[in-house]
Amino acid sequence: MDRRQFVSLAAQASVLAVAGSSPFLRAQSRPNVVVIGGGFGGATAARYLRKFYPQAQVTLIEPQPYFVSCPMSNRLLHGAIGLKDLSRPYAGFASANGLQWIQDRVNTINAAKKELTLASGKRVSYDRLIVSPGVDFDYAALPGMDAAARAKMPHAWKAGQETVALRDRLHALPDGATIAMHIPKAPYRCPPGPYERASLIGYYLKSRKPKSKLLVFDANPEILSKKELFQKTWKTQYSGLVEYLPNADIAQVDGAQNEIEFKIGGKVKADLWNVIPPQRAGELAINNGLANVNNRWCGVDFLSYESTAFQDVHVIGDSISGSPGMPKSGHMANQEGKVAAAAITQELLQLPAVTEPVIANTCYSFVTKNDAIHVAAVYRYSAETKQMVAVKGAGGLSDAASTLEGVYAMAWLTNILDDTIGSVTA
Amino acid sequence: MVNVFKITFSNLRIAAALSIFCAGIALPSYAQTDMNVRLMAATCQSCHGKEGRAQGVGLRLSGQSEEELERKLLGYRSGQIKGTVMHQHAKGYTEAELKALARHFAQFK
Repeated sequence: MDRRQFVSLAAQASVLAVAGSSPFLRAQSRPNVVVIGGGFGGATAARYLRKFYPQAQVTLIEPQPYFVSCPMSNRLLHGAIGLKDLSRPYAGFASANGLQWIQDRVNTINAAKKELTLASGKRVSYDRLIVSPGVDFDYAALPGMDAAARAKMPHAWKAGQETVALRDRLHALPDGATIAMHIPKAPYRCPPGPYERASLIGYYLKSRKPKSKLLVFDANPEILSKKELFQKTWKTQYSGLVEYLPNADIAQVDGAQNEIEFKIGGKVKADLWNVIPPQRAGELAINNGLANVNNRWCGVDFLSYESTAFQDVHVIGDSISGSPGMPKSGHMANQEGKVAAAAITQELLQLPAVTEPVIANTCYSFVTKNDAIHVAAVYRYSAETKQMVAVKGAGGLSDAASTLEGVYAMAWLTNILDDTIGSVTA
Repeated sequence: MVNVFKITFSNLRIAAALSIFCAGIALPSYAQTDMNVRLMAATCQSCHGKEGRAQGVGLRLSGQSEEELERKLLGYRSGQIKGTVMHQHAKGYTEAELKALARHFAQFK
């Protein structure tokens, strides 16, 4: 061994020794964080991980070419906006944020081996995993809702082609038609969303098809969000056009007849049915043991959104089992993504954890073409109960629907899309 | 012996280089900032934009002084300033948290 070789070996030995002892050098090994699902939760988590921890290698796995916002998608139904206004391409998002984007679907999560198997057969390993699969529909709870019935009765509850289909079919109806909607039992994605939809279909009928009628069948005992504000709008704006019936749980669906029978008795036939099915955590979470609360939702630690089922796997967004009163909303998913990104950053860098995360929700609903209402809340982690608790005295509702809030609602959309996925449009 | 000295000297240089590496790169600047404030500010950005540079009337936080931001946030919290929604949000935070957020967003000109 000559001197040069010895120096080289000694240098390597020093590096190894330091790497073994210093948390800072260990952090330099570029931890590999994989995010499954690029909705409001996953895209935000991926982006903020890169912000909070620029050395982390972040991979987003998302099969769709475009992000499409569910919030404001009800405005498509009367033609105020198009699908393009709600869409952002993942390609631009990935390159602008230094992310690797794998356009594929995840089949299995092997939490013991920290490895994913994709639909293409490819395997992807991770140091930390964030799962943001959204909701999936529990069709087994709707007897008769077979493939043909599903095609005939669009849910339009995942914004995209279904929303366009519902709009087109609504617009193709003759004046004098009967349209019917079904709202599933809570919890479901976006508590005020169905009532916003009812309002905007009401607006469409009032302006275009005033001899028609919308019947709203709600499986819940009452309007679940912004109740008085929606009731006031329906009474003052859509009297005789929108009729609301609570406690209407589905017993049987007959797609061929366009007819639905209810458990309380009675069958209703409509020219167009919009059936929003009962919901549970995304299929990926259900199939991989993450949905450990009633076999429907994913239990998490609200300090980090780490799964209560598997270590180093975090779950955010609509598929979590939230604390009482926590809505399943895009805004909440965005906030949860940031808390998870911060928690992972602090843990990997061996820095102090955030011990009292505070998150907020703001949810706008349009009730006419230009007027909107909101509900807001601030949630703070309680070390005592280990839950997120709505801060007393904070949050609240609009005093009344207004055009000013309509302007703020669209500003909210612009800003949260920029924050979540960026401003690059298709 | 001369060689050993040289080798030791080389090791010292490597050690020195490594310590510069640790100080300059491996100990990143964000590690020195408080994640409590960074995370809380991040949650504001959903509506108020990156660095508070939101689009839309009245939503921009950047370009304001710490005093101005603090006056508004505490005003919303106490109820002296009424907004459509901001007074409802501000009541969810402590005065100390709102002051820290004012300081954070005042750095973006």
